[in-house]
Amino acid sequence: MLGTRGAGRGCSGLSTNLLDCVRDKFIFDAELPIHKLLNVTSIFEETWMLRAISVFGLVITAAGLLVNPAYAETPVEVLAALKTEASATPGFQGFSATHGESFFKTKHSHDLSCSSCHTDNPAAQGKHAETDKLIKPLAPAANPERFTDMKKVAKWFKRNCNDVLDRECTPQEKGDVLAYLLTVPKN
Amino acid sequence: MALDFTNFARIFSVAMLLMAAATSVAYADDDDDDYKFNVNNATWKSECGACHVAYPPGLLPAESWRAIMSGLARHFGSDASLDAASADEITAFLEKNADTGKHKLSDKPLLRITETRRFKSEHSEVAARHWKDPRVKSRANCGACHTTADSGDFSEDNVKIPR
Repeated sequence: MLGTRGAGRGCSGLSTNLLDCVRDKFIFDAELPIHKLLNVTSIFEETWMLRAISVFGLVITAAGLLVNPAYAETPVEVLAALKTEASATPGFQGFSATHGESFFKTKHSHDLSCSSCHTDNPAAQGKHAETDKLIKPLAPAANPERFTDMKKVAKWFKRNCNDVLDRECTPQEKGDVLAYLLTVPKN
Repeated sequence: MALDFTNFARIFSVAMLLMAAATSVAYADDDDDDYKFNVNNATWKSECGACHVAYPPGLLPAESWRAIMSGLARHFGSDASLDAASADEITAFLEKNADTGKHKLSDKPLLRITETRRFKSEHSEVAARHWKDPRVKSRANCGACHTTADSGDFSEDNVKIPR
């Protein structure tokens, strides 16, 4: 039953309709429905289709749910964790957004500051100073994904502080910067 | 029968065949000469692709990748350190899909793709002024000209040198 109607007709001609060509060349006799070709019993044929359609629907729904995962932490929780860490230092008096802003914009080692890549406006898109790769906005108001994963926050503070200051940042410095970023409004 | 599935079956079959045909076309050129790298790993893509294009594993031999992955704390002048689990996963992926060609030039593994013989010969026709273009900035900036570098497609058809 395969390809019987297509015998003698090719798919090469420019005028050939692609769908017709594919059907003629590869598909079963179009006069026969697929359940007849598959030779399944009539009781089974409808449930088989319906089941397939339901399973398909479930898969689509599950995929849709996966696209929108809940964030592990909120920026405020991250700030609280930094505060716990900073409290261990004698004389800790809380975080300062003002200090955070000046720390963010001041050039440290290698003529680099946080804003070298993140720009002076953390609600704007930045650009990697070395590779030119675009960097999404850092301020949570402009990019809700920021500071929602403690591990990621630790990873990037470690890397970027080493690059910009040749050392890791103190909990006070990190908290000040996050306190500042939380005050930056969406553009 | 409450519903007639004949048409559905027909459309479904045609769709399936078209999808199969499209897939085989997309992968038909998947060989080294056309520089289309279809391998993927989510950790590699997100970690290595965070600061630069995620350079395909096939651009360097395994020994080069091992050397790079063991020196991430000082990665071409930047701290790119990773947790051990992610680093192990990425190293395994890079080794598995590394370039296996015989082109060893020295005892020390090459760390820069731009220093490989292949990179040099493939780019021999690129004029010096293009390399100096601020939009290109660096030889490591694949995406400046390879418009589909992010998806591992380095074929000549998709090269667009900024002018």
